[in-house]
Amino acid sequence: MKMNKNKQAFTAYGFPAYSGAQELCHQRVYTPDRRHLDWQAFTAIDAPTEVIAWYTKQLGTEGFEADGTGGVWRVPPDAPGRVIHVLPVAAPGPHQSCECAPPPDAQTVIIVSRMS
Amino acid sequence: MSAEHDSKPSDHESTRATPQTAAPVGPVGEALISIPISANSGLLSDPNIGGRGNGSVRQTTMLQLQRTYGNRAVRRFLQHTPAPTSTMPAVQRDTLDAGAVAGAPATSTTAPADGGQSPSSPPPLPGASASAQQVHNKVRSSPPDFNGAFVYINGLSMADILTTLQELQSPGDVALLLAHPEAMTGINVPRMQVALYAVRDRGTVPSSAFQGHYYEQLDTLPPDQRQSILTYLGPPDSTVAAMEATVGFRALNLDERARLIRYVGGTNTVLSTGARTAMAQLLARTGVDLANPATFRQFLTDQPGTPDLVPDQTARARAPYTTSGPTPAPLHAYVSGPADAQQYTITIEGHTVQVYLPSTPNPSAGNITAVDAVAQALAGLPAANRVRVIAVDIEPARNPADAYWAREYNRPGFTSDMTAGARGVVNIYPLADPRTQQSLDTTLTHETGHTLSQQLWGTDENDRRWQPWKDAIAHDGIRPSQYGRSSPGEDFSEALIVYNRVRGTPQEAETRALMPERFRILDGVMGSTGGRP
Repeated sequence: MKMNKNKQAFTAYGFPAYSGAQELCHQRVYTPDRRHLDWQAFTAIDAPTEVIAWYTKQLGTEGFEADGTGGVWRVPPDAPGRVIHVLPVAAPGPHQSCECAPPPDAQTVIIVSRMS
Repeated sequence: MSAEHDSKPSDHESTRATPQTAAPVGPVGEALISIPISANSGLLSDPNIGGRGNGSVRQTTMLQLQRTYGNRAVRRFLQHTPAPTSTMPAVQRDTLDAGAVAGAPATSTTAPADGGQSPSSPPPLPGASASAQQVHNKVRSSPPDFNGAFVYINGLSMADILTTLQELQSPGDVALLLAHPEAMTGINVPRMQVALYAVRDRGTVPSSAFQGHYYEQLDTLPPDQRQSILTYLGPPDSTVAAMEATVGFRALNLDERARLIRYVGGTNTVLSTGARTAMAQLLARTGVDLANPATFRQFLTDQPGTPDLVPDQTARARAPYTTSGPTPAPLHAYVSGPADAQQYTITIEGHTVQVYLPSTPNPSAGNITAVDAVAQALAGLPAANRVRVIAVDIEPARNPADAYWAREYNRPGFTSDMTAGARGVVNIYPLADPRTQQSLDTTLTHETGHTLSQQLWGTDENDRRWQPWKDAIAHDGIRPSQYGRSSPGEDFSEALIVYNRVRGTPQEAETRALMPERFRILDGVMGSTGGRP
């Protein structure tokens, strides 16, 4: 059931679900010009390089930008409407404002987002 | 009530016969002389014409006579023609739009000497016409005879119905008639209802808005009756009238025409004001094929007058609230970083929300929102939204994630106004320009709308729990804002602002008619009060 829920959540952002990913939090950002940014963070026990390797097989390299041991895909690349970012769990990012802390064995954070 | 009337057919007959004895429109001799003897009029004098199955013959004959001699002349003739021997339901008369059939009443400008009273009748209405007095007597008799009143009214022409009911509006008889729809038997119900609504709404609802609201009922009436009602209500909006005059509009189906009239002709400023402006521009533009219904279908699809976002509300009802505190909250865990805060407790209808205000705000960070502005915004939320909020953090500094999002989306200067999660904590960040109360109200309604919908149906809009809302969007057609097109979740939050804005106002009915399925779902979500204080 948990897996199905997380799979659905990834699908809502238009990205494939990473097996075993656990939801960390879900937030919305509202801007003064009334744009919305909807994002959700997940954790994985695999290393960022393993997660990047899997997503590269799924998404290809178009719109990809490496970021240390992680990386980001922007869709479409020039004026992105949705983004998936894979980064080490200790790296700075919005997931640090989540109310729940990552599980102790988590190595990677996956942040999916969309802007409307 | 109906059973009682049904058990007394003789009462019906005498009731029906009464109008024939009312003061005639003109001198008897003149009326008789003005109608030449013809084969058609002879048909109507036949005592068997009232029999079941002769309705179409009667109607055809009547129409021919009316076209030849006019309604009034035919009415005069019939007042002096013996009534058919068999009982004829009044419903067969109404389509002629005249009190022109045997047994139909004639209006007069003054009441008869006895005021049309029976022993159980109320006192006469001063200066009332005979027809108004008749209806008044039935409505106010003991026991009241609502069905008799409806049958009597049904026999009048539309112009006379409106005149008669107008006289009865002030004594409260129209409201009484409207309160007894169960007595509308044996009559043309849509015709009766729309006439009653017209009298009730005259002076408060513009003609075009009325037309939109009752388009389907009006469409069942012959053109002259429809026109009588609209003329009675006042001149139509010029844009609506121009639109209706086009070949393309008239080629639309009933549902499309009704939707367009409601959309363009409404009095609501949320949707119809912009739609009317856009339609006026379309009609004035050169090269537009106004004879093609596709032009108007495209208008309904694009909705060019719909605002990008539902406009801020200038005033809203707010529930009473109390503010207690502050108490110190050292090193409060703000998203923008731990900082000392003052904790206030806002209590609204038994629900408490904790609000944290920075103890030492840094002016260089921007304008900090005041606690009372937050309290007012919370008090203006629909109750269903408000109970989802457990805390509001008035942040002392910008969202630290702004730089992250600016990079992710190639948007330098990205700034967070407000953030919210499904848990019910709202974060409000300092902005370069101070927020208006309207802006805060609208933003909070929209954001808590997301919290509400996500708690109801999940964060994934592909979840099947979202399907009824998606179906409602498809059914209603009309969008609350252009922004609402971006996703079902945005549509929900924008529709919720519209719902909250018009609920309990004179514009609710017409806005509900534009988005009926969404309003139906929101009714269920918000409960009987619509989430209002």
